[in-house]
Amino acid sequence: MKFSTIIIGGGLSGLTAGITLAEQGQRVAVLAAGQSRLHFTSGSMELLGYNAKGEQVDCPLDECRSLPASHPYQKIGVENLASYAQMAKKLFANAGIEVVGYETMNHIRLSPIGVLKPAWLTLGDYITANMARQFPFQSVLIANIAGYIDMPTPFLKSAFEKCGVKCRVVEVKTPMLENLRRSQTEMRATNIARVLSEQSAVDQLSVEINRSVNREQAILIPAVMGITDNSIVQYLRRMVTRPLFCIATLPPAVTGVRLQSRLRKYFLSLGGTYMLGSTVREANISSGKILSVAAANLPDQKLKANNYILATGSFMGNGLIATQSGVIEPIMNLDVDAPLDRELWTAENLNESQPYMEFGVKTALGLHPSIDGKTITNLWAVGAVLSGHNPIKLADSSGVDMLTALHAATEIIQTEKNR
Amino acid sequence: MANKTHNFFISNNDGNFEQCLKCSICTVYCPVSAVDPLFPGPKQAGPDGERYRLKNPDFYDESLKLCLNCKRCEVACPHDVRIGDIIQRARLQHSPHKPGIRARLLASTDLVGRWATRLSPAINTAISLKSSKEFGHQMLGIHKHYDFPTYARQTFVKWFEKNALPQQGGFEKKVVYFHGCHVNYNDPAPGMALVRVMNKLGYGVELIDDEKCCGNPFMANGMPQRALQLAFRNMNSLRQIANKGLEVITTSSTCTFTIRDEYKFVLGLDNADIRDKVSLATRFIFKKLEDEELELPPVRPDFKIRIAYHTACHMEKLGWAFYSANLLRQIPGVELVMLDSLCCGMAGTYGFKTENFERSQKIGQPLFNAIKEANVDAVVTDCEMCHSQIAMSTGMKVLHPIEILDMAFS
Ligand code: SF4
Ligand code: SF4
Repeated sequence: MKFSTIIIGGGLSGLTAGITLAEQGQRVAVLAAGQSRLHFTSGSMELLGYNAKGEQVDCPLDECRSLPASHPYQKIGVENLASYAQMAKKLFANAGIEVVGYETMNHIRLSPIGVLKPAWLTLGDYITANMARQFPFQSVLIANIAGYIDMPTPFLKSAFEKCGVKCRVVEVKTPMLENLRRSQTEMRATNIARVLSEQSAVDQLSVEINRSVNREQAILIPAVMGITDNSIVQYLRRMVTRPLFCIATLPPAVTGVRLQSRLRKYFLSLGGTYMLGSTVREANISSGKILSVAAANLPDQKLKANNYILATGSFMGNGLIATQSGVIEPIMNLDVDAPLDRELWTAENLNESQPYMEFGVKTALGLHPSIDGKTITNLWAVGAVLSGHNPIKLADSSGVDMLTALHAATEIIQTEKNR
Repeated sequence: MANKTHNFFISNNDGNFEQCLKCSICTVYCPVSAVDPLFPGPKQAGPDGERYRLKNPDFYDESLKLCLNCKRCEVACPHDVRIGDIIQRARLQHSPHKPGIRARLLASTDLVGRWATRLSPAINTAISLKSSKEFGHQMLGIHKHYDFPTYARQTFVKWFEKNALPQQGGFEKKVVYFHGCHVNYNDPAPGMALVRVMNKLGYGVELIDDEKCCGNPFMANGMPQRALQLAFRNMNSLRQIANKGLEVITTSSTCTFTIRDEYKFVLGLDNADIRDKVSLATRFIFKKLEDEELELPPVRPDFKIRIAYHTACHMEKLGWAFYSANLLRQIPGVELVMLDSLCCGMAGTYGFKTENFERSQKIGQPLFNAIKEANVDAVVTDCEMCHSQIAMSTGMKVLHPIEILDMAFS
């Protein structure tokens, strides 16, 4: 099988690159070992939330200039970030995903446990505040679904009250949702979303919500609706008597599943090939170039392309593996930035920033990785597999995922033009 | 290497439950969890529950029976946990229930089939009679709304020996066909199409002297020792074929997946030398076309069909839907709609059982809706059980990809 570009990894980074290339008419294959970290996305994307000192960042684009040279943003050129950020927003719009936010000014999102964090883009159905932590309402009603425990309401209530917003919490019950409570373990956001995909179930819910609301200015519900798109959320919005917004839940997140499935659908609609369950095990490399890759479930099948993108993520998706003898990149054994001494991998204090978070594939020239110091010229590494940044400390993970992918795609489009 | 004394219950348990990161992504994709809150879900039934069961088998919970063994959780897992295998093995090891008549009847596709084809007119009438459906429903627990597959008048093997065998010597190239029970006893059409298509492509077809049921229905119905016996016989045959330098092709995604994955991960057998030697016919043909070892024969000029391709669960697990869909796309006159990969709810013999019927239909509903919206002439799938379920639940014509090729080339 021959493609223009093969992308290893099917999460936010891989799909961003895949979509961008397919939009330009390239023949693209995405090989995904399993589902991705996108499933944890609680409705927001981050570009840069904090600086190295841990201070909150208002204008992410400005602050990126002071990042160290090892940071992926520096490798793709901070001067390019603004246009990549615009491209990312456009990509969401093209895929039918409504987002709000600006790369020039962060806003505040509410984490599932009530922590206020800077964010770059947030899905249109979520509640947000400005950087001064002002919410657009003085009083809100949180209507949780009885039995649903992946949204700790006391934390959320106190978060709102700290920002001067009056908050009341109620639990709503409807016959269709009560049925789910028979499960000991699976009253999860995604299972609730399946029930609430039917209008009749949403009608029941809206009646209960309208009954509960007093003088509050807005209604907040957990983000448990709209697995494939947000039309059912829009429907509920029309049925209730106050403006209604969602609050992020603990994973698996409905909006994460929605993002994954919408991006994938859009990629497929552009003619892309998405092979789920295809774990790439090896690459055939000769004189600094990949000739083909092979997947575990496709024996005797050479997968060939002019260009390759590695978007396998960090430790969770096995993009990196920690072994007794060091941290490795398992497919090609690429050079990695990680000390051999295991003592140096972790910091004793769990709350401190952990060194292993910055481990990843070493890229000397732009995003090209190397093997034993020799650059692989037709391979680009993008997203969480890259070394040089701590996504928890800096709150930059979706930005790194998307902007590095866009950089690789832009370079590949240029390379193909010159061919 | 495993041998005949290999005992399922003492073979090493190779489940990699400790690889689980507790991310819960698997729970999103379980078709049973989606409709039945009483199923504990893949994470709980699989890696989480396994830790307890290893300490004390009393933690085994009969609700694990609700698992379809569709493996969609495994395909979704970002950390390669063999969730479905863990559940399947736990059921075989710990279930206190001995398989009853129904389980034996549903599992013994081979034995029942052999008798049923001989008596097919009578059996088919009996199967469709209201009174016998009622009997099946009440006494055996086979749901009365279910159209139990009818039996062919003549087995595929008989047809082959009479009508195809004599011509097969005339081809220079040869390929061996593992037809599976369903083609042999219930629906020989895909098998007959396969012989014609391979002949058109210049291959003579051979059958396997000692082909046995792949064993999957026995695993699903609590009879691992029987599955093991069958697996040994098949692996033996496949080794002999491989030694002769011949390739084996199939038309059933489930048989193929069973030989590749279940022999190893559920039965604990060492199938390393043969697991990649069995290929679906669509993959075989696609690859030969790609390597330019084959050319497509001319297609009937008036051939025109709009089809929807349905990815069966075990096809999703194999990761081979790409081959079938893209082979079909190469046929002039074929307009292909790729359906979202969703479970049809049948899962082998699961949907037949009275206690599962409703759940099975509920699971399949989103797929049935998508099929109705697709506005096509036929649904195409590589799985014979999806075929039954979709045909029954949507009233649509269902075909095997090889049957489409056969129609196009004839
Ligand atoms: S998807 Fe895999 S790693 Fe995640 S909870 Fe399920 S089994 Fe564990
Ligand atoms: S094999 Fe299928 S039915 Fe069983 S737990 Fe996994 S996803 Fe659910």
